[in-house]
Amino acid sequence: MDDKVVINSTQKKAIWLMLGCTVFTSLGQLLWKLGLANVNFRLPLTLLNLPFLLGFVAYGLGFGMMLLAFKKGELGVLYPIIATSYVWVSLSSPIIFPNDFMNGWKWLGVLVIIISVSLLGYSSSKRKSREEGKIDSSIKQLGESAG
Amino acid sequence: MIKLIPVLLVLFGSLIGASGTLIIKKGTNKFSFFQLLKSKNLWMGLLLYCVSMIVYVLALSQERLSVIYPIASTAYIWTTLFSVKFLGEKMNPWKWLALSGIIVGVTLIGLGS
Repeated sequence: MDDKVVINSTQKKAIWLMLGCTVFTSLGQLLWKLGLANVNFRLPLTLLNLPFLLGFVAYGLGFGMMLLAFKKGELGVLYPIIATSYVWVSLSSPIIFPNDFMNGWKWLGVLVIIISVSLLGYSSSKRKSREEGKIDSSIKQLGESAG
Repeated sequence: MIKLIPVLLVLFGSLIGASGTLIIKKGTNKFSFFQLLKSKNLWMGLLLYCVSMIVYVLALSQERLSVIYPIASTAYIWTTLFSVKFLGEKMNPWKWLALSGIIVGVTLIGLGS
C-alpha cells in the first residue's frame, strides 16, 4: 500500500469534465442505436456504417474525459455523475427516434437525477470549504499563540 | 414475476463494473495520462467493463428495463463503498442523500421505459 495516493477533494473542473463525459457517452449510445438500424446481421460488413463507427469515437472521447476527471477528484463524487447520461438520453431520444416518448415517470426521474447530481457537486464543495475554514482557524490560533 | 437469474447477473455485472472503475481510478492516481495508456490498470479495467457489459446485455434479453435499471444502478453504491475502503475517501450525509436520489431517479426512468 506504499503507492496509495489519497485524493480527498474534488476540483470543479473535474465535475465539468464528468458532465462532458456523459454528453459524449450519450451521443455514443444514440449513434450506436442509429447505426444498428442500418445493420443486417447476415451481412457483418454492414456494421461498418458511419453512425455506428462514430459511436465508438464518441465513447472514446467520453472515456478520455473521465480519465482526466479522475485525476482531479474523488471517485465517490465523480463516478455517480455518470447517471446524468440517463438525462441526456431520455430527453434527446424522443426527438431522434419517433417510436420513443417521454412520460411522467421519465420526467420525474430526469428531475430527481438533476437535483441529486447538483447536490453531489454541492456536497463536495461544502466539505472542502469546511476544511478550508478549519485550516484558516488553525492558522489564526497559531498567529495568536505566536503573538 | 421478477426472474432471479437476470437479477443476479446484473448484480454481478455491477460489482465487476465497479471493480473496473476502482482499478482505473487507482491508475489515474498513480500515473500521468500517457503512462496510464500503457498501464495494466487501464486495460484490466477496460476488460472488466467489457465483461460487465456482456453480462448486462445477457440479463436485458431476459428481463425488463424497469427491473434491470435499478439493480444496475447499485454500481454507484459499490463504487462509493470501494472509494471509502480502498482509496481512503470520506463520505458525508449530503453525498449519501445525493447517491440515494440518483438511484431513485434511475429507477423512475426504468419504470417509464
